[in-house]
Amino acid sequence: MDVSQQAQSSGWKILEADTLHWEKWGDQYALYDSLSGETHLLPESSARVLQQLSVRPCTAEVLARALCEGSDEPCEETFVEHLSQLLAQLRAAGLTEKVWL
Amino acid sequence: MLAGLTGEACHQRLADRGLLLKTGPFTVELRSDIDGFIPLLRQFYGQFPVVEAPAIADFHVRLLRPGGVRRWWRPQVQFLLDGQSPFRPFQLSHAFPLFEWGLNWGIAMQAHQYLMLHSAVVERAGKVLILPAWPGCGKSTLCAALVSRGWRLFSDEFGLVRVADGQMLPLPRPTPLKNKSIDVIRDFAPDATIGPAFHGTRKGTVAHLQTPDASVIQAHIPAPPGWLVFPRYQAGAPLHLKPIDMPQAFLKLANNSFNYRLQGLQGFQAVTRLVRHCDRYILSYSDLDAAIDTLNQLADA
Repeated sequence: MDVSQQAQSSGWKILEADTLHWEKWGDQYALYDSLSGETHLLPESSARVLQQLSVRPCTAEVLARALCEGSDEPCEETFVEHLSQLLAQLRAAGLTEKVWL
Repeated sequence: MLAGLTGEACHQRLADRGLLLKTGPFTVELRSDIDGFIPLLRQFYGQFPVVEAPAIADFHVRLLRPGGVRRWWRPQVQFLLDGQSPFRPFQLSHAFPLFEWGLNWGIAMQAHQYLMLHSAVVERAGKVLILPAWPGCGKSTLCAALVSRGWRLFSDEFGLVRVADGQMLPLPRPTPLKNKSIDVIRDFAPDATIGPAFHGTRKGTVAHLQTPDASVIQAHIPAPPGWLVFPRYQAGAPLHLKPIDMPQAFLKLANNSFNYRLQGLQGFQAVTRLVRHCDRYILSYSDLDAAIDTLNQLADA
């Protein structure tokens, strides 16, 4: 690993934001990915993660802080762990991928 | 209409250049040399429009007697769609159910200009009730019962959704009743015309319920979707109409479609629009009268 890579950290990006089509029903979302042809039913938590990642790729920590913004509660370490698991599930569903930031 | 052709003229077209029948949005070119098939075709499709040649047909169907020993030993009938034979031959006397199944198969395989739901569809007061179900849920029986009580038949098999505007298109055809359903509908609607019983088919005994003339005459008139009701027949079960939320209805409907995946984004948009625009329920029932009362109340509310 060279010096420039040492400064990088592992983050997440949405696979292809332009190919995602959303339908919102209360706190649930239907998501159609025209790249893969897959349809996903997602809870609000997953939808917010994807929408945040569509703004820009980021680490789980940065993502946690962004999602906690405006909340009175501090962003807990366990929330970051929870997000990491969620991001891995979204990657398995073909919606996110890891990226060097 | 087909009834306007003499038996001889009908026979001649079937044997020669083909009979062009209009059923819903489709034109079917039909050829056949099966004598026993023609009276049933005339009985069940008598009110259907005949298209005069030259015309473009959506489906080219032939019902033929295969050659060789099967021409006279346990004679058979073969179904050809666009020159291809997708099924094994049936016994000759089953030519009519073979035509019905074969045409259904052809529509399901080819009519991808529409989103196709596997559902019965009926209309009342200008809005459509969609009854999506897989085999065994009592879809055709409930549909036949509703039609016998005045609902307009769109189809007992296909929910055809025009993706451009979300309108439902009629495709009225004879309703195949199976096994116990035949007597259920005979008792429920004694005035209904039910054709001969075909025993020993892949689905047991099948008899066809004639489509009401009014449904055939209005087969060119689409209607917007109003209600999505997933029927579930359970012997002895009390009637229960349970509302379901949009995500649940979306999943059930997308999984029920013949060609949701093939439709891509427009399929997603068509299903979400249906779910948004319809009242959505699961209907558990055993008593047809009670089920129809409930659905009438739903439509008249």
